[in-house]
Amino acid sequence: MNKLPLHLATLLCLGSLSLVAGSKGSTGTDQGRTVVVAMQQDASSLDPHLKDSVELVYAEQIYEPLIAADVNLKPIPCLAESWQVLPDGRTWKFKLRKGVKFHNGKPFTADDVVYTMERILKDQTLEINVYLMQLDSVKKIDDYTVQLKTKVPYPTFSCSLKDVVILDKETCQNMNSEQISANPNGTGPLRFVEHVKEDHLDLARYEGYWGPKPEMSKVRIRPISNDATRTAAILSGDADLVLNVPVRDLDNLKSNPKLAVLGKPGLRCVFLNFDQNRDSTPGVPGPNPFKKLKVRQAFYHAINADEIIKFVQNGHAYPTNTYMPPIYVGYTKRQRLAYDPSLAKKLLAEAGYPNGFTVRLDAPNNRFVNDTQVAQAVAGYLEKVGVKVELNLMPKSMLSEYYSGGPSKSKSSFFLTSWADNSGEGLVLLADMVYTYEGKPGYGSGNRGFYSNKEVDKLIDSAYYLPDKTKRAQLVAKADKIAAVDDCAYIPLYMTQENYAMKKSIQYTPRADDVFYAWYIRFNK
Amino acid sequence: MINYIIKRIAHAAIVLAVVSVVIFCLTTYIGDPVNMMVSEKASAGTRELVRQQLGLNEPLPVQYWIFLKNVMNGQFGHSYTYKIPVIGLILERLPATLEMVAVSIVLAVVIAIPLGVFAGAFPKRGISRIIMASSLFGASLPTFFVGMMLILIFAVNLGWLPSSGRGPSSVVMGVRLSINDPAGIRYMILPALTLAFANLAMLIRLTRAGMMEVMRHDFIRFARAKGVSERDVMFKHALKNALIPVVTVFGMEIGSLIAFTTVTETIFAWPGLGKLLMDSIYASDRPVIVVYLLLTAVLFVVLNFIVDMLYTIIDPRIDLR
Repeated sequence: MNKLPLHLATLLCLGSLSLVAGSKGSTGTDQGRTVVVAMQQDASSLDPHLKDSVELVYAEQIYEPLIAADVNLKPIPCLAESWQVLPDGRTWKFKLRKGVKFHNGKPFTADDVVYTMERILKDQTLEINVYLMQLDSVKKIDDYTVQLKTKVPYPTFSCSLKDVVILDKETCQNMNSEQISANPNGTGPLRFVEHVKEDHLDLARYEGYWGPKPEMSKVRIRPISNDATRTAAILSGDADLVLNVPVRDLDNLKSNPKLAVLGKPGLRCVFLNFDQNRDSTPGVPGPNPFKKLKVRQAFYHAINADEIIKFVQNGHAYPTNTYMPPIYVGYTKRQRLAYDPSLAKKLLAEAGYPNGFTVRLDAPNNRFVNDTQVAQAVAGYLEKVGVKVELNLMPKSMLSEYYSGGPSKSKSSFFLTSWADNSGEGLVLLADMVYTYEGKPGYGSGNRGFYSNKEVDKLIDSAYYLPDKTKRAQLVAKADKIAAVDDCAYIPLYMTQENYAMKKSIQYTPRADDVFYAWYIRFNK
Repeated sequence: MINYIIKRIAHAAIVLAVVSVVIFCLTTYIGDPVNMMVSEKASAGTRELVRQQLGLNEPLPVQYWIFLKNVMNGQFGHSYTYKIPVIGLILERLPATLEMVAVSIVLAVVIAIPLGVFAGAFPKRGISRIIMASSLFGASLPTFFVGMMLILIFAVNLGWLPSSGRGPSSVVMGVRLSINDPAGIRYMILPALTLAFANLAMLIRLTRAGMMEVMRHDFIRFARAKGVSERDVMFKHALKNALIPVVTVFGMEIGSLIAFTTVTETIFAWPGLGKLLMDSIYASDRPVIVVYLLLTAVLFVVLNFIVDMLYTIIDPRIDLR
């Protein structure tokens, strides 16, 4: 009894050591063109319609939509070679690309499009359903022509379609979501090889791809949720490209001669929101102060967003005066309301709060970079103008419970949050963020402060039916100014920065929406 | 013996019942799963629909009752996030954790027992003091720090071992393993060492304490007097008698190793159970959390039982009744 286990253990250990020694040199990326990419999260499912989140990024490596978006979010033909909106503004006619084959060799036809659209329409719990909210019906004209009809004229439908990827009808029609997830079969430039949850997704070049083929023959996407480990993966050479590089490691990585580091504005806006429509609000005793414009203006003037960018985010964020990213249709350049604490005090006094008041600030502590510190800074600025802030920090899963559920359920009065939209259309963004909450089905779903202005609603409504981009942009810009400046519906703090680190042997051009496409990777010769 | 086993099973049932109620109540406080499941842009109607589908609109006691009934029928529910049966999800992740824990236990035992025996047998020697001082150091370092330092030294600076992830794995009889592949073991060394670190210190100290006590006994002096070699005195006579507390504590420690590898797995992006628990908590994936913690409770009950059985083997004088 006493001898055996010890000896066995020693043997095992020695055995493993010798195995280790023997294996050196046999691993590594010696198969030529295998690229390893480290991302923050894994996909919980590869069913491309189930989730509107990181799962979609994984799915879009394999699947393709009818209309895609280029790096600056302009609609470009993909599985649809061309499309045309009939004069009624509701009927979209798509000419499908011929000669496209799914990874299993089956041809892509109109039936696949009809099947896909109907699958999503039928099932509200598929998150991609929100993109087809305006879709009324889908009809096959012939094998390579499909007609989609929207409920109302809807010029930005092309933006919604880029997140609706097409499944193969023959493969999927008798499968449930779990089976579809286990057997990915798309038309994209990369085909599925293997997915081991929380470890890796292996993809290989699809030799039968209709368009230009990717340079690499194999890609491995690795989810590494721990920030420091992701940095270690690029430093040790285990990964070729790392996404979501933590801000604190940027300087260290930049000084490494083997690596290239790239930072660019993302689409996520970090902002403060007020509950501004209910008579009383849970986080403030007495009547709701945020119903008064002057209080909202005072808060805006009291906070120094430039300092937050400079000191809290170490300069790795971009100033903004609206939810809207600069590349969006309808964006206009404007100044933020100036940082002016004495004006803020004056406005508070005029609003009937010469001694300020107490408010609870609900904020996340794991949602975006340095979120806790941003909330603390905001509290500090507000204390200076006499507003007492109770900080209420929590994980994002708890926070979403605070502010969602609409006016009857929301427990928040004043909260720090963020929003990212990838449509490229200011109209889509504003319809989510400043349109009256549930004013129309699917409208105002991100408007958690329940801001409501009839004029803004009207501008958004009329812009919706405008196929002309310039005219649409004008109306959107007007609505944006009313909400962001005149009404101070929210306080935009900054736009986040997206950071990439890669080996110098490769090249990667990030998209404006920071959706990762593996085939964008090129080799430096 | 049979009486004893029946008694233990009854105890276990009570423990599990209490644990299940506690976990069930606690998980309702970690955020609303509906918000994590539907898109940010989903309408109130969709949210309500999902809530009804999940049965989350029922009062908590009713939810618990439904859960109990399903468990009795062998239904452990579906994960909210992955939309697949929880048991399948846990079994899929189990091998990765088990193989890492196995390597870590081997490392801990092989390193700690000889060091502990030595330090206990010759407490006054300089080397023993060094062993004890460094074990204290090891016990006080937090896991995430040890893990990051190991990555920094062996992966980033020296480049000897991979920084994270699981190595090449293959499916053997329906189970995905990487321990059978030399390249796979390379990936396992750093996380296993990290996991072993805290246990090393504890094992060394326990072994040493046991040895010091045993070495004072008359039978050790007698063994030496009859000419047994020093090595046999230590490992055959003394160690065997010093092992009881080591087995007890380490037995339970194996339970924690398997159940709570969360930190190590997160640092090393290891696709095991700890990572699953972590992600499930972040995603408010209640079915996974509840079943996972219940299984953990079962694991501890079973380990406790095994440890008690081992006593009788190590020391036949111990009577379980």
